[in-house]
Amino acid sequence: MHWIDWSIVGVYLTWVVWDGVRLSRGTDKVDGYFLANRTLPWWAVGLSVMATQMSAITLVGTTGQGYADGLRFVQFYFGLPLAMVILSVTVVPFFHRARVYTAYEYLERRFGVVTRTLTSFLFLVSRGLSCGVIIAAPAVILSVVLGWDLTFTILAIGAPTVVYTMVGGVQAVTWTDVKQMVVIVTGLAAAVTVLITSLPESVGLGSALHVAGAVGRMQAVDFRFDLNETYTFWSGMIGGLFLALSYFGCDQSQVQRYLTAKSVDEARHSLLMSAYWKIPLQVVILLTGVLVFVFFLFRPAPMLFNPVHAGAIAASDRAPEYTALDGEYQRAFEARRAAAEAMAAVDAAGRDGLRQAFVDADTAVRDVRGRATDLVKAVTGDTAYRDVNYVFPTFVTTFMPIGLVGLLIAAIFAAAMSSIAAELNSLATATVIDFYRRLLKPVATDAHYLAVSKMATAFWGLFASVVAMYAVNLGSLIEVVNRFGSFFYGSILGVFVLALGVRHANGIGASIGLLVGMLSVGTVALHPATSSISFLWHNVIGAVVVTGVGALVSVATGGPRAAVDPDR
Amino acid sequence: MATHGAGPAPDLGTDLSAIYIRVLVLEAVVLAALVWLGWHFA
Repeated sequence: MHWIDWSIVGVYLTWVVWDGVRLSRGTDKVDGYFLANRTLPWWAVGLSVMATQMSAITLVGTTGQGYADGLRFVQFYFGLPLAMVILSVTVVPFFHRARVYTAYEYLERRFGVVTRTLTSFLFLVSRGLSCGVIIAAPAVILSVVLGWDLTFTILAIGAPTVVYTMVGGVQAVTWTDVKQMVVIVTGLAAAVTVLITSLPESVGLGSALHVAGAVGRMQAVDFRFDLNETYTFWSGMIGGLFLALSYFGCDQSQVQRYLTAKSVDEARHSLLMSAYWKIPLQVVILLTGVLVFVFFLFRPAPMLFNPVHAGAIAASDRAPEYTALDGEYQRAFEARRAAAEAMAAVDAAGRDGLRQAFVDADTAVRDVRGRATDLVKAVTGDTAYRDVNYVFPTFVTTFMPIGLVGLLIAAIFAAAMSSIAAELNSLATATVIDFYRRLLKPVATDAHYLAVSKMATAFWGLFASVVAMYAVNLGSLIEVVNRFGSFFYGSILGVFVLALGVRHANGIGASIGLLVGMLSVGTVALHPATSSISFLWHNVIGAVVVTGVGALVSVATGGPRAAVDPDR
Repeated sequence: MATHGAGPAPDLGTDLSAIYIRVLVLEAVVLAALVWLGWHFA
């Protein structure tokens, strides 16, 4: 990387820490540290909600998804706008009027301390682990693409984030999220501009998209109803709705964002910002990936985008096999380039006659790359390896002009740090409010709780960094952690549905329902007969089972009992 | 310390103002645009 790009990344990291620490004003009390004294404007909260959701995995992985599979991943978000409307009507006013710090605090008023403790504990375990993954995934990719030391990369992402989150609390998290979102969008705009201006002179943007469309890259919507197909209109609309309801309504890392808003209406507007902008933003990110696909139709692209794995195979006893594959790839690549150029050069009528030749040439390239990826998995043991995750960073570092490389690397850092900061902040909140203050030390000064809150933030930062260092050596662990979270996401939503929508529900019903819900999802996910069902449906199964079982058990155990200290 | 009790269930109510309708209409427009993209560039 050129020294100018290094400088840009260095300036960004310094600025974000300085700015975050500077924003620690007004955080000398727990209310300020965790909730910004409920004073933040809707637009800042809304951008923070979006920045929290968009991790570096989203930025790098989604562009890779666009490169390999086109726009269809956008269906994952189809349920989100409706979820935001439902949440604006239901949980947002409840949480605000209840004056709670955590979503789980509300559950105690409804169901008792066991339900609160159980759900908060599940949040701490899943978010603590996923925070490590959020650091590890981009660190692995950046260290490979930029040639950085892996431990250095993990610390470069984690350490600045821990510092400003620990010192500045939620004020620092929110306002740095706003600025990080600007860095991310600016970086994306720069990448799109470079991609469009890099097309061959004879190829217009429309022709390029027609070529991409010939191999399905522009197909965003799939109306087939197939439970085994991960991304369809129905899995996105129904499964995605349940996932978004659970993530934005029951996950402290998001709930805490809108608890900082000035009023109920400001909190609602902050969520509706995502309802308006999330799908268009994801389309832009996926289209960036599609444009990278088009870019590499006309420019030489390596067979494998991960140079470290390519080097490992070249040094192994299967090197001859790899060399033969590379030769086959070069021939297939040239044939596809010729077919793409021919197709881009003609009008609509001419394209029809050339489409099949291009589709066949693309299939040949995919086939060779697929065999090369299988070889990587066999030689390195990295069974979770996804070559497409390296496509966008490779494009950035190889083909972006000096200066913009630094901006894009800063954008990837920004995406990672904005998510990590919000998660550390919410992990500390749940630790202190749901466990330390509730169970261990109910009476203490505000200064004491503030000091413990900062220590909790530092602890979770350290925990996530250690998890990250182990996760990078255990590729499939990342998948395990992601799957682990999906086991109880929908189930926790079911508990909140019981709390808000089932009047006769009680604590016994909620706790038993939660356990049965998680067991049901675990069984569906792991049983050979049902394991192929898309994970998006797990959220629906969890929520429905918890609600049903919880309601029945509540009836069997006598319905609602005496209220539990509603002022707590 | 109570472990299993139940406070009063909240009154959900509704507040479906024009803004919510606008969100859903906009989503329908975006979905239609995505379907058109797939059809046009197929």
